[in-house]
Amino acid sequence: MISDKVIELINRDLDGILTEKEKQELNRELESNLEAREMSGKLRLLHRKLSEMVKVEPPADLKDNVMHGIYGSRRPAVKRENPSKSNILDLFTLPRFKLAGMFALGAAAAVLFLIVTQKLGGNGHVPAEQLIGTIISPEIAKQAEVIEAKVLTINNHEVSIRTSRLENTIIAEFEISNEGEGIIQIQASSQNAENFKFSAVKYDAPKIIYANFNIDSFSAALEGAGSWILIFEDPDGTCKTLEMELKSEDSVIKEVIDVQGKASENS
Amino acid sequence: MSNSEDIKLIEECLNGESRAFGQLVERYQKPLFNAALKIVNDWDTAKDVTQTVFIKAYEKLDTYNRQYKFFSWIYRMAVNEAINALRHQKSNVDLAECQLESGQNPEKQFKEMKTAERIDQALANLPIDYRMVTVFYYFANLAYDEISFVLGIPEKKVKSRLYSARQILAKSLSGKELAIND
Repeated sequence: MISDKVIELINRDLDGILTEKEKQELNRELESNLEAREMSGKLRLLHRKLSEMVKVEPPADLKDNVMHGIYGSRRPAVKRENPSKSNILDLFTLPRFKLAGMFALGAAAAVLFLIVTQKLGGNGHVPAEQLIGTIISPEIAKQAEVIEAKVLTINNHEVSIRTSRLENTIIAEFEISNEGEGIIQIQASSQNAENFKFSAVKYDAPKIIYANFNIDSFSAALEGAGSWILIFEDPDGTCKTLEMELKSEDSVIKEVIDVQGKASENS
Repeated sequence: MSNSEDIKLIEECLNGESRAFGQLVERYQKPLFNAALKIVNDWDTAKDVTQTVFIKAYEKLDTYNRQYKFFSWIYRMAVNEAINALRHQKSNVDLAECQLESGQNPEKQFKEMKTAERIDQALANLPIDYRMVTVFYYFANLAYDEISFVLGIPEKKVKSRLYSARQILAKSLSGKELAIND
């Protein structure tokens, strides 16, 4: 017969938290109680075996998968420094911002939205800079095979758009000339919420934005093809959109649609 | 790996440097994956759980409360993910296959593998509440107060569950099985 008290002392002994007095009490019990002695020996052996069990190495691609996943993650892990200002990430939560109207622009069954907004800083007229930065590393981006490269002027901003492919990943790269140090955000969504992943990144410093999308992630929705719509929003809320049709082998910039007015009126 | 180092990386992530998150993944992928593996007892499911936890952690990084350790926070998420995964789990694999290490005496290696296999099986048969405590104690090396936070139960309950789990495991494994390689 082993009392609860002795069981607790044995366990506390395994954890190395017995006082000297408790140790003496346990030793006395173990000397006089065979059952307790056997249990103690077995628990000690088990404790050692559990502590010594080999920790396996995680799958080699685990980290890459995670990093790939966060580039297309649903929510941003960013600080919102001035939430009172227009925030494109919040636009989709506004009832007035009807996605349906945007989806109608794309003929494909599934539509991917990619949104870039830009906020000019302070006086809005600091020396010209380029928006430079990465969501994926430039080294990886450089390995990708360029599918399409084009320069457009949208809302007086010169926008270089390049899409490229790296294995099953499509990389969209935006280089936006900017007169001011601004904040840039990027968001993507698909019509099929189940398969929807987006990136949302806000940079305080000029950046190049790379957004990558795993074709496999969207295969159910896109079936290898789809349309992207870019929306550029100026600080006053004026938008212009650029629709891109993404096919399995290439990407075609299809049309530039000038949408005058506030983003929230884009219904 | 101090929590202040983790917080520095988290700050970088929150400032838009997503790559900093890669360092957090590198730091914690092994203990998190091992804990998940022992809980769900399936390699692919453990991989899914670990990946999902990291991605969710990234997505919720702006809600992370710095008064807690980062790894405790992700383990807490892992508990929910693992429980969800267990509900949908279909098949198990022989975990011992994953534990072979090169460069050892083959006979000793085989015996160790068999012991590990028996312990894994005994662990898998533990009630989930007891299994969680045991896994976080032995495979994530968490202290009682940390397990208390991760599981959202009082520290006293953590201890009583661990003590019970040890007894159940000891009873389910014969002394010969445990001592096979001693």
